[in-house]
Amino acid sequence: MTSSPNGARRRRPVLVPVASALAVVGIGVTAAFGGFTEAPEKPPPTASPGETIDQGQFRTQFIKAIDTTEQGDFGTTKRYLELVLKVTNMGKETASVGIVPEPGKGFRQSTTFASSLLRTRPEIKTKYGPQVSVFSLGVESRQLHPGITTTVVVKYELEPTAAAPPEISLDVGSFEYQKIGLRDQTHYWMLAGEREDDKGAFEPEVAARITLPVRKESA
Amino acid sequence: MAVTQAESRTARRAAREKRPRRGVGRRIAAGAAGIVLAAAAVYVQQNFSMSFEQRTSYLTYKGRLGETVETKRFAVKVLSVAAAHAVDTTDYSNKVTKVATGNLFLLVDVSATSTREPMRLSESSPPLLLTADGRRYSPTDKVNAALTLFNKYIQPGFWSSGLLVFEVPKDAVPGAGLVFIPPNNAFVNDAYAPEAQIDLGLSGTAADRLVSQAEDYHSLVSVSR
Repeated sequence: MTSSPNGARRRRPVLVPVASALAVVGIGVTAAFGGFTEAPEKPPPTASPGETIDQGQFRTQFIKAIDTTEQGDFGTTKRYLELVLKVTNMGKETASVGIVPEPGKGFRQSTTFASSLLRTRPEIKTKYGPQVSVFSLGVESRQLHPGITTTVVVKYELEPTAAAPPEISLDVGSFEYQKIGLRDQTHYWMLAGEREDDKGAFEPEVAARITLPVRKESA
Repeated sequence: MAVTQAESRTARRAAREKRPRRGVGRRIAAGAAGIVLAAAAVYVQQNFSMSFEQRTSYLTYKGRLGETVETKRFAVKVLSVAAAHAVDTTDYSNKVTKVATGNLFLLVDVSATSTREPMRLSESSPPLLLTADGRRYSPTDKVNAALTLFNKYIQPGFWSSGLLVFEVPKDAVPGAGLVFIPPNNAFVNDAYAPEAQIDLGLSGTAADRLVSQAEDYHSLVSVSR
């Protein structure tokens, strides 16, 4: 009854044992690599001072971090922790330098340069946040024009007695050229990152982490 | 009545069956033609439709240096273009300071009049300098807006002139043009507003001459405007 109608010898059933062997091996390999739990996120690439970081819209070099004093109004001296950057706008439009995101207040999917300076370690507390501006030949500006490399200075005002950290580490984000929505499909360079479940808090992606030693410099 | 109707129906069916069937070749050709048409439609839709930016951009009127470009809402004319390595700015107390650049300041002398309503250029949607390769430069913030066309009211009946100052690298000069964008409402954007794109006549030798003969210092305050 079970023999094949034309009387040929039945083939050995290879498919089932091979398949089950493969399945067992597959499960074993998966288990060996830690099962189906989410792999820990890879730490962001680190950059060294002076190295050029590709931020999509910008090419950025972190030159130095200095602890310096400046003459303020009415004979006062003000102490600053300054980060000195060299930034080239690789985009096609004039960009604004913007402001650094306030620590602990979350992030916005911004289009300004300073919004990509995501966080510092240690966190530097200032009353109004750092001032960010563009300097060239002693002239201050808030614009980054396409194809022009300029110096961007981030100034944290320090208490005269406060101790500056020996080094400062920064998380740097990058920008993506994308449309802002379905209704308004205009393309902008925007801070790259993800939203939890597409509507939660915006979490920018860290493109590079850089540590700068803080040097004391007299103005 | 019912019988005749049934009869006529069978007769019709017979007639339909009798009609010679179309040849296989014709059917294949018709199918192929259909596919080609559908493919062409998809191709045209994907390759020749305007991008969102193009569809929603302003209506552009084009013109050249020295020409009056007239739109329904304003008329604008570029009188001259100059280049300099340093210009002036003023602060709140009208103190004049010299502003230098390692790049180039392009000084575009613009004259404009409005057709119906008075207007003033807006810093949030400013006139732009458009380069040959599509880069767009906003007017520089190194020069106080009080010294430029931003400070003037553009009104019907007479022409207001002023400078627009752009900071650009030297390679942005050849083929550059000015895009004169009137102020727009920040909340309700009027997509059918006119803009004027004016070729500054900086092709080849003219651009080289402008760059090489750029003034070292172009004062913006001595000229009383």
